[in-house]
Amino acid sequence: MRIAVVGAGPSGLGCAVELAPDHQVTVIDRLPVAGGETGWQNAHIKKYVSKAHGSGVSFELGAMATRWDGTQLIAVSPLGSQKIDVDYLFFAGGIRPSTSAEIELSGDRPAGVIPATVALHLLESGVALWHDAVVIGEGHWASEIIAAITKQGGKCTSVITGEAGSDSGVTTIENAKNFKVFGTSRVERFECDVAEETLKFTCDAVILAGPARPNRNIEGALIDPASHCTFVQSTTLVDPQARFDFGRNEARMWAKAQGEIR
Amino acid sequence: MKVSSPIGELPFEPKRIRIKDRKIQIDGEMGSWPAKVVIEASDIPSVLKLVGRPLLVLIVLIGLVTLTVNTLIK
Repeated sequence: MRIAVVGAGPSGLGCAVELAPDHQVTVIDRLPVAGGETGWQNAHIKKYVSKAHGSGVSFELGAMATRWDGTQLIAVSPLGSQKIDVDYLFFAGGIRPSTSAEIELSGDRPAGVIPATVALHLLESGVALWHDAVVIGEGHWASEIIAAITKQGGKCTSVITGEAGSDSGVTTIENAKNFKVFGTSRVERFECDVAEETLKFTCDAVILAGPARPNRNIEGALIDPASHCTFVQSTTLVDPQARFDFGRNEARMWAKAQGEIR
Repeated sequence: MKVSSPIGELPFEPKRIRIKDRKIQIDGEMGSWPAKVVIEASDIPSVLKLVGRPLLVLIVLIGLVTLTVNTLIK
């Protein structure tokens, strides 16, 4: 069978390596290098890519898959668009933080409400577009952001819906709900309810750091289930090896369901 | 060689360097994407301005080291 795996992160590479002995597998990714959010320089990624090449997997990197109709995948890149004929699609497009709407953030719509992934890119580039941020959510994005802000001498408050498992090193508001943001052009204030009390914070940014949701950006493969498509997106696994194994396992289960017993 | 960009750090592998129409052109690959760096004559003053001070410090240091070595040998 001709199979396309969209996403060259650990999960996608795991899928590709598992399927390669029995199928013609092509890995497609919008970035011109394999690795996804884990990064092309990561030692695990280099090992998985080498394994995939050795298994006969082909790569179509730097091309963004945009549409899937069950038989054909359309991918666009700086070199043009192409139609790729495949029989089945594995979508391993990674995860993203919940949006304002998904965490029911109400109030105004000022500038300065930033997804954690964007905030991390800015922090890694040494750019902090704020002085005092509120970080909503827990998990790896929140802890990475809090650590980076603290390292750069910035100020932030952590707001979580549950109870803190460990000390984040900054002021943490637990069991918070009913998030509200205020500001005319820029974020000026954040509010949340804890028990019967409303807490108010003066801040200039609100960073959305969870919970994780699966990315979905291919027309025809937006909703699970989709025709001739398996979604390979764990919202809990962070470690590259765990995600690679997850990808392999999802592909193995699919193969078993197809009657392929190895 | 690496290039930082808004989508993260990407590799840049130079494949060929040539002088074309009084421009220095480095052809290479940024991952799977073809990429090139073109340096025109008009870029040279700004590049020199950037490297000027470190280059001056380097020349002074080399001069001092050479002078010291020569004095010690004598």
